[in-house]
Amino acid sequence: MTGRDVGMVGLATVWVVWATGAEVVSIRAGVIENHVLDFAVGATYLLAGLIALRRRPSNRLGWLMVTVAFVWYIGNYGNTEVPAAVSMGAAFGGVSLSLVVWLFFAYPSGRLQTRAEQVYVAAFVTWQLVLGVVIALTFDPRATCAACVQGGLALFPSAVTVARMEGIDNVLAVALPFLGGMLFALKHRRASAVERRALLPLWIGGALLVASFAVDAFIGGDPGQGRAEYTLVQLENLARMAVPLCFIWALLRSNLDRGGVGDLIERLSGPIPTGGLRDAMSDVLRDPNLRLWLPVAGGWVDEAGASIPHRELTPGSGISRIDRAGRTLAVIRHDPAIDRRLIDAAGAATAMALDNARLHAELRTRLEEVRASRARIVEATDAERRRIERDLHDGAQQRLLAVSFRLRAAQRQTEAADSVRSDLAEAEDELRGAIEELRNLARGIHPVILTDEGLGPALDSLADRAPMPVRITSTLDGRLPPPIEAAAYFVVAEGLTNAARYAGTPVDVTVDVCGGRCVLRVRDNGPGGADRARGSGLRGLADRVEAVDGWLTIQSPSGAGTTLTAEFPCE
Amino acid sequence: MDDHAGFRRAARAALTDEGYDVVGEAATGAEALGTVVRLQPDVVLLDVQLPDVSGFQVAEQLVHPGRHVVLISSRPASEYRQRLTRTSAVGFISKEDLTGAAIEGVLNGRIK
Repeated sequence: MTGRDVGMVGLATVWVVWATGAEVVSIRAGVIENHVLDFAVGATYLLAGLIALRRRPSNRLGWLMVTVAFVWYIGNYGNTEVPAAVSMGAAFGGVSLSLVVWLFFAYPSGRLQTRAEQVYVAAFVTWQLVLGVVIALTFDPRATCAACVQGGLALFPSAVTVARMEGIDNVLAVALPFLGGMLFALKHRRASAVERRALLPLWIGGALLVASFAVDAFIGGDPGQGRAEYTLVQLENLARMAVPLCFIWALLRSNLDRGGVGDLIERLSGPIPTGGLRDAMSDVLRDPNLRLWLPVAGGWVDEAGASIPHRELTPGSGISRIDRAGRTLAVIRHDPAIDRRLIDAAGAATAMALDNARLHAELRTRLEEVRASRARIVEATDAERRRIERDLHDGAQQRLLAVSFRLRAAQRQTEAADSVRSDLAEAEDELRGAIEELRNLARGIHPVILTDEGLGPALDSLADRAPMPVRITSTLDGRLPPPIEAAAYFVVAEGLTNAARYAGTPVDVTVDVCGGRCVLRVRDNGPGGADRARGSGLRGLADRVEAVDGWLTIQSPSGAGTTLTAEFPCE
Repeated sequence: MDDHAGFRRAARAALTDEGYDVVGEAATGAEALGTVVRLQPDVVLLDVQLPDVSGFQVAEQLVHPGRHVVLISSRPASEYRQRLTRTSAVGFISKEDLTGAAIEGVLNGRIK
């Protein structure tokens, strides 16, 4: 047993003596009251307060509830015939109600969250103290009742002051609960989903309390006299138990929730889809907005591998790390009201799955990086091809054309010998051949029509130059992203080159754009037998297609023609 | 109109030999517009690929009654399929085929 435990036992012992004494003197005074319920109210506060002090020592609710458990009985001692005790009961009997109001607003964090709540609670406590002290000092029953005996000390008896204080109290008895209700509604609106769930029983208790005040104010009179007032007192007692009962219930539920962690282990024993881990933790922690991030080299990602800006992970309320063996497995952003021990339990239960998810996420991130890198390489290659084509066109080709013109002019020189003219004509023919080859080379590197006019005209141009008939059927309308157009063009170009080389039969080209996908087919009726593994052209083509998130298949059974099929995303 | 000076010189010499009166040259689209307005030629040989603007765009601005714009390029006509069908120029000649006869052919509507 720790020192704190000993202190708590001592505190409980003192309370038992204090509370029992309060009930005994009340019975002796012959006041009609349900002493069992009265005792139970205080006991509930004490129990909840002690549990709170033990489980959550930093939370002020524990001390507040213990204080209520003691203050609750001050009024009972007012039922004695000792004037000082009567005055003390009158002066401080109302303080317990103030503390209950304080608890309502401080639940569950133990702190009053807004300035309005602080002002309201301070005003409530102050008024109850002022009212109690002034009544204790000025109320003398003998002023209006000749047969009465002096109750309290009544050092400054004044019936007028008592009447005024009661008048103000009657107004505040309506105004303060109304204001309190509004503030509590604001507290509820401000609360997170988890906090709202915790606040629900308080709404019931608060409603009961406000209702009892309202009926009390309406009936008036001396509480404890008559059946209606008696019922009212019991109603108030029950309502005042709402906070400690809520607290105990929250602890019970926390234990139940931790029991749910066992289900989590079972749930995560099978295959976990992407996002499944977050969903499972969200269910167990009852936080639909929970976010889960996993550490990977160079940053943080979600389960799908998408990068998360570092600023979202700034440590603070509602951000918790899940560690194992000194290594952070994950960070979750959650409702700040969730019990840290429940998070730890869920973290421990999911550690292995989190580690797996982290590895998967890292793998996905790496794959995404590779994919992006490959796409960048293809884009850079295309840009380079365009530059080379332009350089050939603007440079060498123009110079050769100029030479060709000069040769042609030289042939027209009448004074030149026939043999020279013949040589010049031959040179010009060779030059024209070179220009043609250079032009074909440039076009093969990157056709300008593809950049300028798009895939449709570029395919038509390919078909026109093909040595065999090419039939194009296309649903293409408008332009596609440049990398897709380039990949599609080179698929058809390669298909036609191969068909010309090995098949020599008519070729069907179909371009089908539908639902954000572009499907391309190049089919010949040649001998078939093409193998992507054996040809670097087809292998390179497949790489190019896959670099833009597409795929390429080759069906080329021997003797049954060849079909190249490529599919791309085209949005 | 062509941005390659060597080609302009060779073409001018070849066409002059064939009896044409080459009244001016320009290396850019902007220069071409000014030169044509100033010299009012009957025929403009306009390179498709100018450094500052597309020859197709310049052609639309140069078209005028009594003036014939002929597009030229070292690339084949098949590289400009759609744009050649939409242009206001009277025709297209591949640079390697550029001769007086080819120009006459285009002007006579034989090649378009």
